[in-house]
Amino acid sequence: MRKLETPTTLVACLLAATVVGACDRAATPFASEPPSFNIFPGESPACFRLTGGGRIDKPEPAVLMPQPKNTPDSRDFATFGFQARPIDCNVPNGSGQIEWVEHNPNAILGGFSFHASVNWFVEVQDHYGPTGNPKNGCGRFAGNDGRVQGRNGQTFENISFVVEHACDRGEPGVGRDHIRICLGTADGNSCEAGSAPYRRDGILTGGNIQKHKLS
Amino acid sequence: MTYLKLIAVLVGMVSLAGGAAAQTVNGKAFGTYVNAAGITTQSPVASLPSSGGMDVGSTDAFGVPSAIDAQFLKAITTGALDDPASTAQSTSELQNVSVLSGLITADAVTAVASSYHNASGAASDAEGSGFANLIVNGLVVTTDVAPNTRVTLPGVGYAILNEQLPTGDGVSSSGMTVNMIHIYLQSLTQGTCTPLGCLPSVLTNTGEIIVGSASSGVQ
Repeated sequence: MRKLETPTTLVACLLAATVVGACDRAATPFASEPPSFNIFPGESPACFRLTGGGRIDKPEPAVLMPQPKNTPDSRDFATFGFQARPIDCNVPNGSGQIEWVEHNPNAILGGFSFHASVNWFVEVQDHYGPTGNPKNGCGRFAGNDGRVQGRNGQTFENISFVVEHACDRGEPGVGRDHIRICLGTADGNSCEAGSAPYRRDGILTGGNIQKHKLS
Repeated sequence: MTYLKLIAVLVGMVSLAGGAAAQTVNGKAFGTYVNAAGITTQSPVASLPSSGGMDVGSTDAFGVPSAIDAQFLKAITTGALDDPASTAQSTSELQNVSVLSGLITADAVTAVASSYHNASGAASDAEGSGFANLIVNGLVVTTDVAPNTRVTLPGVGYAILNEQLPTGDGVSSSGMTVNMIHIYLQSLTQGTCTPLGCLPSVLTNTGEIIVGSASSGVQ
């Protein structure tokens, strides 16, 4: 568990938000209050932007290596597109947007599509090691105005998300670039296993993630 | 000596071509396009500005009677112009797809196109594109569909599955369009005979249906 540089108070109700109906509000698997975002040790405000789009199938393996798509009879994959950036060099406030589509009917809400805008963007280190870019580092970005539209007909507004890392490790992005997202976390900073109603990561099986100069 | 100088100049030109920053990026994606029986219509389109950015086109359902039915159509395109690397990538996905009243069905159709241009050149691919539980003419397709697979549809025309259309020179430009299902509708015009001779029957293209299209490019 990472330690916050700026401690925040978490609402107890939100900690139980993964249990449907835990709160007195409408039954939702997502945290219902906007979280705050923080800069952790080892992270820093960024001076680059990211664009990306593509597909992930299998979870990130322990060692970085290309991953196959799931079999054609499976809908267990996610597709996405995003653009994210800090509003200025070395400022953690961010801008941009993300679209995420979970296709697995066994996932939360029977699969869903998610849209949100970005309001936080910092640089993080790649957990697989140096990226090989002249300036190493991945992006971590987040927001809290997301809209989740479930395949089961349920829709939820003002849902938080954090892309814990989006990493550009060269071209083509397939087999190299990787991403992890969490939705609806009570602690907007946390995207650890078990910490979010929805969490998915993978090495790209399609598409690309690209790091660009901040312009 | 002169010959060596010429080679050096040519190598330099090629290097410059590969190293020069891209001038534009392009991307486009949509779920379905129908041009049949006098009807031309299309589900929401995502179009990437030539300077980069992001665009999304989506709808919960889209249908044209006897032609196409689909749900949860989502088209996304993103990209950016930059030096040394410019990129564009597009995705299109739709679910519960039925084409031509069930002649072709799939639980999910996904098209992915990705292009980049950097100091070493330009390239594109359609990695990540695929079907979930594809059935064509009643036959279940259990393996990945090879690019540009042609399937005859008796009485209808033919379909190209996983149609991939690359463009560019691979040095300063590259692009890819992938249409996961592209149906070419055809009708047979009967031949006629006159005292001067007989004209053979001719297959005429009468329309097309595209399902799951994504394109990307840099130049």
